[in-house]
Amino acid sequence: MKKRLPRALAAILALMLASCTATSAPTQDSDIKTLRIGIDSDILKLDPAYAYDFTTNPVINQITQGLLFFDPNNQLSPHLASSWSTQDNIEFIFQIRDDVVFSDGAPMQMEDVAYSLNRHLDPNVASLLAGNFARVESIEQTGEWELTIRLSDADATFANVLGGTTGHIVQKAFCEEAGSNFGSSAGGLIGTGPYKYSSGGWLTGTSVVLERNENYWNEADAGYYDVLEFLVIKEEATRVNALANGDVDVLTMPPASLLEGMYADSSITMLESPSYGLVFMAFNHAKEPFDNPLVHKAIAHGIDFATIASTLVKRAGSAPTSLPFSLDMAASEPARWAEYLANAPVYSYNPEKAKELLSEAGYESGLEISLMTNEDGLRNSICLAIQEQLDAIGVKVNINRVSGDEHTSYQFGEILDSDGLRAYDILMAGWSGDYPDISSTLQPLYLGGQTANAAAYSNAALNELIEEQLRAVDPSQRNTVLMQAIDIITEEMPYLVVFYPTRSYAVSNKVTGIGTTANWFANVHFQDARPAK
Amino acid sequence: MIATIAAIAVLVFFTVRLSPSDPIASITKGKTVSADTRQALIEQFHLDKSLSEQFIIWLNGMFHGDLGESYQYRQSVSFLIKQRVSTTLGLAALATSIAFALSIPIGIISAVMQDSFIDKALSVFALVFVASPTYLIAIAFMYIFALKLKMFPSIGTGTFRHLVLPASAMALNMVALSARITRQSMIDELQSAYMLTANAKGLSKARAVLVHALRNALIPVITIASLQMGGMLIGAVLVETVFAMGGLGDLLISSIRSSDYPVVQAITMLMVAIFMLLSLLVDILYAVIDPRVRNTA
Repeated sequence: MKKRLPRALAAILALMLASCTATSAPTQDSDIKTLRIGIDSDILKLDPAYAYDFTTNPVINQITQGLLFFDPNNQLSPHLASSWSTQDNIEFIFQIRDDVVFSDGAPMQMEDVAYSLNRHLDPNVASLLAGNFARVESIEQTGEWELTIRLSDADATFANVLGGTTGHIVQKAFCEEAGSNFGSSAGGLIGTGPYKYSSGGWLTGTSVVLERNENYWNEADAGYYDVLEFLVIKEEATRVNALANGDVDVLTMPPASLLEGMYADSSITMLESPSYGLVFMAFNHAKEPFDNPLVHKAIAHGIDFATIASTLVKRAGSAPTSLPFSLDMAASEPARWAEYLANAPVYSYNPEKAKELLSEAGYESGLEISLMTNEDGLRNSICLAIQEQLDAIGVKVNINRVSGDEHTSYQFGEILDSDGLRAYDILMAGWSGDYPDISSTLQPLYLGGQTANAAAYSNAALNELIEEQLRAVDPSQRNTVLMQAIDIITEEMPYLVVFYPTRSYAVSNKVTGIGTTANWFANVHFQDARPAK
Repeated sequence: MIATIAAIAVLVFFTVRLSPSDPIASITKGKTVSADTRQALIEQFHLDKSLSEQFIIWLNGMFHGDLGESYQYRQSVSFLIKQRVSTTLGLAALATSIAFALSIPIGIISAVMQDSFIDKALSVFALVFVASPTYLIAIAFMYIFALKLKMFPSIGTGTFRHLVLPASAMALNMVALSARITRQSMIDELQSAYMLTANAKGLSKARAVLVHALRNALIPVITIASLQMGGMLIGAVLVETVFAMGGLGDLLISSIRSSDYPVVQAITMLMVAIFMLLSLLVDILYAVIDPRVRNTA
């Protein structure tokens, strides 16, 4: 009897402990070369149609490949397509490679290509990238290895879309067989990339394990590491410690608040590049007086963005101009764009001028506004600086901090007030263009009626110019139209740029070969990684 | 018991739906989708049905082992839970074992050596850990044992070694409370009449304390431990985050944040079931320890 109690306890605990060994660790065979990559949140799905964020993409990009891709100089280049052409920005013709093989050894067929692209148009797939194909009218095989995509309306930037995950090819037979299981941890996917996924390799919330594709069609591009292990590390300090401790070799999203220490750590190499992004303040045009350009300009003059960039943003980004993109976005004629920028209006810090503009707008006695932001530490510090600076020009700022997901819902117009209008005064948020073209910022943010148009801004002349540049076939002519569009934007300032984020990767000194470009979102390829000598 | 579960099911189902966010927005990550896609999703997730119909569908599925499909992951909820439950249960079990292994000897020593220097030192030790947040202990443990001494991995799951640091961090908080309760409870028992009898019979002090007094003193300790163990399943989220373990707590938090109703419902119900199971086990343990409970039952 007296021994029964400890035994009973031991039995219960042993039972529970036994359960924890059920998930067996990947065997640590010393002959297997593994590259460990720390990511800041879990991936969404193992499906290129759901790869539209900074953690899902770096994983998917190792498994599937696109018709086109961006080379290290950010030039759109052929990949699974050997060439492409368009005469009118309406009909795009792709010559598809006939020598591509899926990771299971089966050759890639035209039906795989057409099927993969058509998935974005299928409501039952509910592709997150369907918006990129909004103008696609048809996707058809028009020759033995020729594919033609027809648009309903001209779009000069359309080919860029196929350089990202929207243009990635999955195996039709596998996808159809897996059905609704496709892209799940158990179901997985089959692609043509240098790494492949095996069922169960994704332990949701914890890790994704990929193995080298032994059937890879492009031998010259094959990966060195046998295994890529992506580890989900949400806690910022843990992520940095894991790199310092050698538990991971690469961090795709080093936390902005800990960048300084990482730059100081001699065992870490920091790779950085400009991004296609911006952090902005959107004036909600659905509410007075935030539709008034005088108020926009007053607030622009009331905030010392240059000092905010040098004292708060530091390595996380660069100081803004009145343009809603950094010049890294200019797809052609960079010199012409530099000249355009040099002549663009400047709204520099000038509290006196700010007060003048405010009284001109009818608010000489001041204004009380609310500024919504998410929980991001850097953005909160910036909001506090803005609060203090605007107080000096008689604008009282109430900072409204909401959770990340709630913030996203506000930004994309899912949370509206009882009148069906956006429910904030000014929203601080971020946007990142999908490809190196100014249009990938202009269209979503400034075209009337877009969900990403957080300013609820619409200007008939601008809307027309945005459409017109999409029709322009000649790049120089197109830039002329884009500049006319930006003339309107810099005059009305529906958004203020807070800073242009810098993208960085943190890599252990034990690893070399990983490059980063402004377009890393679409094209970081870990097959280039090697152990450092 | 069935009534309790039913009441909780109703409560859980309808309260998560009080949130103002649009489930379709959660499913599509706020992307613009065509009307056709929206309609397809609405049908797929039964969002065109009334709330009470949705409730019946959910309840019916639950009885058939189908917990629905996660909005954020678009895969089966039971699969997601299956992948993660072992991490959290393992953590809770190891933490409880460590807590018992430490707190009972500490409690006994303190009681036997009541008001001595050792008793006071152990009290201070307990107080410090009761007052330290698990999160802080976890970070300190990671720094000392993983980063500096390199004795354990700093992140991840899968092996027993991965569990040691996070479980110890969770246990310390529990040790402190359990040790205090063991001590108090032991002091009460040591002063009772049967201890005098035991002494008079010539029983060794060790036997009297460890066999007779301890058994009676354990009842309140087990009561508290069972409550703490239940709490740990959720409390584990802190160490799961610090050590990047991605357990059940982590899944619950991310599901709440992205309005992933099916997952929130399923985990909540699972927690309720585990709590109820634990209290059943405790009742059985009472009976094992105390014959009086057995006889009345």
